[in-house]
Amino acid sequence: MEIDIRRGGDSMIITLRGEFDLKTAPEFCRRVDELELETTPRVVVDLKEVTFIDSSGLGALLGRYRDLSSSGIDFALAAPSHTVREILGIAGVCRVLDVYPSVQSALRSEEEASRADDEH
Amino acid sequence: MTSTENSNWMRLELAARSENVGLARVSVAAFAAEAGFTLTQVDEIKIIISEAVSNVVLHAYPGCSEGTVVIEARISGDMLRVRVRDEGVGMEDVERARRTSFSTLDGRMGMGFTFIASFSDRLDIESSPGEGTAVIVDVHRASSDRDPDPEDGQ
Repeated sequence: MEIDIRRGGDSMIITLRGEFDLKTAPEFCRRVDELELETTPRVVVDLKEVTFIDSSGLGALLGRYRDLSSSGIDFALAAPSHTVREILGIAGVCRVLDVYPSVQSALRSEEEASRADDEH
Repeated sequence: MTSTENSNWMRLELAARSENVGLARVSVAAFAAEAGFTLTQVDEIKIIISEAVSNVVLHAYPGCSEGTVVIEARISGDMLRVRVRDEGVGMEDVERARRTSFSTLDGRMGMGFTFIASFSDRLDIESSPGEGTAVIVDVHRASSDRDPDPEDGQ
C-alpha cells in the first residue's frame, strides 16, 4: 500500500493506494503516529484508491480515530469505494466516524464547521 | 473464459506470515472467478480468506515464527467450500471467538468472524486446545451480481 501525506488547508490529508490488511496496517499506524499534528484540526483519510480492506485495516483506522479524537483532532474518511463502504457498514464504522463521498466534501465540511464556530 | 467444469479443487500451503495473506486471498479469488463466481462474490471471498488467514497469523502460533496455514478450496456444482486450517494452539471456546467483540490482542477489532459469516452461506469452526483450528466456509455461486451501486463510477 502506498501512503501519501500532504496538507490541504488546515487539514492533513492521508491518501492510501492499494490493499489495507494485516501486512500494511502497521505501516499506516506508524506513519500516522509520527505526524506532528499539534495545530491540525482534522485528518482526512482518502480511501478512493484502496482496493481492499479487511478487519486489520479497519482496526488501524479505528485505533487512529480513537487516539486522535482523544487529542481533540477530527478524523474523517473520504471516498470509499462500494466494496470498502460495504465493509465500513457491516462494522458499524459509519456510526462512529464521519465518512464523506470525497476529500473536497470533507474539507468543505471542516470549513463550514470552522465558520460556525467563528460566528458563535 | 469461465470454466464449465462443475468440480475443481486447489490446495495452498503457506508460512503463517502477514506477507502471505494477500497471496492466499488472491489465489482463492482467482480460483472462484474461474469457476464463474460474480465479481461481488469474488471480492467477498477475498475478505473471507483474508480474515481466516489473518486469524492464523495472529493467533495460531504465539511466540513461534514457523507455523503453516493450509488453504483448500473445492468447487462442487454451484458451491465453493474453503477450509483454512493450522496446526497451532487451537481455541478453548469457539463460540466466544465467533462473537463480535474486541479481540484478545490489544487494539484489534475482533470482527474477523463477523465478516466471514456476513459473506458466506455457512461457517464452521473446528478447534480444540493444542489441536489447531479449521475454519470451513461455504459460498454458493450467485447467478448475477446483486444491488449495483449507482454511486460508483463517478
